[in-house]
Amino acid sequence: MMPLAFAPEGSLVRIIDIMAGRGLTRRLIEMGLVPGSVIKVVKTMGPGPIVIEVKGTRLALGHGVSMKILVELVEGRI
Amino acid sequence: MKIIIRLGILFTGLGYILMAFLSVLNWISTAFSVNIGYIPLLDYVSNDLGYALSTFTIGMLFIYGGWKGPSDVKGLSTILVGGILATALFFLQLLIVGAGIADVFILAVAGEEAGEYDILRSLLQGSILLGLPALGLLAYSITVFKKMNRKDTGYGD
Amino acid sequence: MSHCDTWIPKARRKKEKEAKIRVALAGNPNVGKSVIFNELTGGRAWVGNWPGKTVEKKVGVSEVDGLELEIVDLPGTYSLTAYSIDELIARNYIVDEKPDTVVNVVNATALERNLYLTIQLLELGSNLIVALNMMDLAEKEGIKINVRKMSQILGVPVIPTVAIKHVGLDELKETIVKIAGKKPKTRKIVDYGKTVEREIEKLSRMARELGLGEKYDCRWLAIKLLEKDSEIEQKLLLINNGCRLVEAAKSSRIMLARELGMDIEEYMVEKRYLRIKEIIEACIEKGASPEVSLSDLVDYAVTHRVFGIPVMLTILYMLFQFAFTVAIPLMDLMDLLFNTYLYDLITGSQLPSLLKSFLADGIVAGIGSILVFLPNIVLLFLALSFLEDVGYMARAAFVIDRLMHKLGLTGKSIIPLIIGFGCNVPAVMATRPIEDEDDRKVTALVVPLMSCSARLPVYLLFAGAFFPAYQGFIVTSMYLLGLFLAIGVALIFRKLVFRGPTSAFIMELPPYMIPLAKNIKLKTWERTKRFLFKAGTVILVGMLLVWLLSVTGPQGFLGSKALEDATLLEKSWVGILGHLFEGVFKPLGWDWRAAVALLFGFIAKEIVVGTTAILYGATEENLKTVLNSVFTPLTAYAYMAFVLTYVPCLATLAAIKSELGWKYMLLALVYELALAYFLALGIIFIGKFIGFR
Repeated sequence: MMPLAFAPEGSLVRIIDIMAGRGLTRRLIEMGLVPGSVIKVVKTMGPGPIVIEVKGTRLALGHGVSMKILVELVEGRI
Repeated sequence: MKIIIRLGILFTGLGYILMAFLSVLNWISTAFSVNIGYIPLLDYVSNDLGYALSTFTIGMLFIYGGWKGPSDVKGLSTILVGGILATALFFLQLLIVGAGIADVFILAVAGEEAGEYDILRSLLQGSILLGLPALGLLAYSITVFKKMNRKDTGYGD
Repeated sequence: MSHCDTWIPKARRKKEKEAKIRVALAGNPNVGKSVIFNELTGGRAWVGNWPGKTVEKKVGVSEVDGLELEIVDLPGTYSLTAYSIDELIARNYIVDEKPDTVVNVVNATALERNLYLTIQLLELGSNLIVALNMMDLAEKEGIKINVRKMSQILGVPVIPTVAIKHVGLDELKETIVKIAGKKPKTRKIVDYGKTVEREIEKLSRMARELGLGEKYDCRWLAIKLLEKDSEIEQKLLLINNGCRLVEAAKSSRIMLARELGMDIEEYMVEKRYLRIKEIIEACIEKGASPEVSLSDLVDYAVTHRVFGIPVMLTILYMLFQFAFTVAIPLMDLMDLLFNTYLYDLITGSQLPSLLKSFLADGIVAGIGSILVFLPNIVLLFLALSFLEDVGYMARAAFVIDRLMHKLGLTGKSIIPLIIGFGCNVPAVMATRPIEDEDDRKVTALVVPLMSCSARLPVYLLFAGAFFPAYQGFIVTSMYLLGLFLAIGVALIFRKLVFRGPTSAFIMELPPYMIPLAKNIKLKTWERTKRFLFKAGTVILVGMLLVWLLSVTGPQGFLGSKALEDATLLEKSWVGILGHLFEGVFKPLGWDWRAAVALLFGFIAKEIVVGTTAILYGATEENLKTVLNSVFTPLTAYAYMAFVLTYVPCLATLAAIKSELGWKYMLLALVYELALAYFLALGIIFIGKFIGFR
């Protein structure tokens, strides 16, 4: 288990938990980042924003946000 | 065949880098009134730093793309984007030339004093000259992309 | 009805009561909602604000079979919670105004995300039609949707469309009319499980007893209460016995939290997504999708950690070259038409001299000063709209976000800052989409430090007069100075004044698309219109005021000669004011005339050069030499820096006031004045120290 920020590029991860305030959590959940769902890490630039694919669309998340989302690896680099 | 293409891409990239370098020289000589002596190629580039940055970027993209090769996703990406930017620069230069001509025209019609405008020289700018092979590269990278997506026909690469 | 009447559709019968059908457009951002809006209204639309808010409201009209449709474009949202203004506006419009039909524009290639809003709209009780847009893209990606099955499951009409090719829109219009005014029955779109459904039943019954069934869908109310929706709670507390319902909801929540073992909101969101999955599985056949899409391919290089920013700078460079250089002939044309032809025409005519002056120096000069920049600004907006519609701007914001964060801003701030180089007014307005309040405020306050095109003539004049050899370099230094100041000011504001946490960056990256020329034209026209009206009226009124103050003085009317004769001008109100400020500017080495020019520049920076010419009694040719006798290179540079910083032009201040309010407008005014003054002082001081005069 690790923060989304550390997930390797090209991997599939499952969301375990979101450790953020109410408003942010709500927004993330609505964008499809629901605990239990699987997302793909499209691009990660080390310390910086990342791009994920969730529910069929591309989302860019800031570093702070991706640090608050805990995930586990489903499939490594594709 | 592949090697020739990659070399072509690399050389185009180097060409753009050269333009960037010359552009910086040009800028230094204009902004600081330093006399560098006459380098023939200086007439073919703008003395604008932004231009230098742009051509440098395009050059880097092509060089990276040529090095990685168009069969690599990363390489293809940089070639494609480099091609797009170079083509944009090409058309931009054409537009600027057009604007220059229009301006001289307008001022002349109004009876104001208008400067001269050397059409040939503005057309011979590096961005236009190198823009032609760049256009070719753009088209090429798109065809490679299309071929890539047809690989589920089973004939693979 | 007599036997001779043929059956009249319900909508036509309504015509007796209301002449038009009210339609609301709802949907996620980036689904082509505005394309559908434009296609339906054909450009017959107007833009305003939702009452009391700074969110844009677009209303348009359309026609079907002789019936008029009034179409409201609701803000693009992903959901209908109480967490954001956009969502509140959207849902309150549907609940309070009760439009006859709601059209939910859905992106067929992103159903899982889009249907979430659809479900919310259905639960809200809207009379819904789903416009399944981007069907062509779905086909390309191998997604086949069984439209009839989806319509069956959702219980509403589903119309496949390809908005940019105008496919399906006629059918959409007809369906809008067909189902207009129907009142949908409460249905259970999502089953939330026995325990939760029990509480929903309980609460909705209570709501019905309180008589809320008239206005609201009671099931929806119950669901919102269980989700602890703050706006609903507030509204209920205001009505008779509403507090009982709120209390009941509270105890339900506590009980459910215990039984479910998790946060209720999360639980309900999960249930919705599960239902969505079911719906999708029933309606969709997904074929083989391409490994790498073209968008992905481009994105690799565009968002690359090393290449990303250079690519962005390159695109920006080309943007500005386009907007400035290509605009030159057009600007010259404008200048000739107004400041020469028209001006000469008026001054050469037989009109009474006062009227002549009013028309020529007041109105023509005023309008001229705005119109000269029009080509520049239009081209800038054109290029920006193109980049936005292609989808690049989202990438730009993404690429630069980290850097912006260090400066106390957000990636989304970059767009207003870029626009600011053309004109500060639309730039301030472009700060609206920045969600975080603090980020928005800081960005808007920093925008005036971006050297707009109106300041360029001032830079060129002084740079040309005092630094002829390094002209380009000096002008560029002004732009850079503005940037540095902006960074510094943003940091200071962030650390001291707006200490809120830096906002989370969440942004959707839509796939790249070839934009429709029509949409770009419309967008550009909208922005230009806004610029012309806001900036134009302010500048025009300002110029007339300046004119008035120049031709009159405490001794009475001075006549139009005052504008040509500097000694006469000194006796006018303008001259008096100038002398008043002289003391303030003495340490900077500027005389009363420079002060007056600055005063005029407050109205609009464009007129500083013209005013300077009049004040020093010079013509365009010898202005430079005249200036040399009044300024020194050092004081001139300080003057340029002052012009860069001192005050946002009147129109910009008006924009700041309308976006952020009086307080922030005053803040902008005060901080910039102070900054400008001390900056100029600093330059003079350092200059003298180094050895300049």
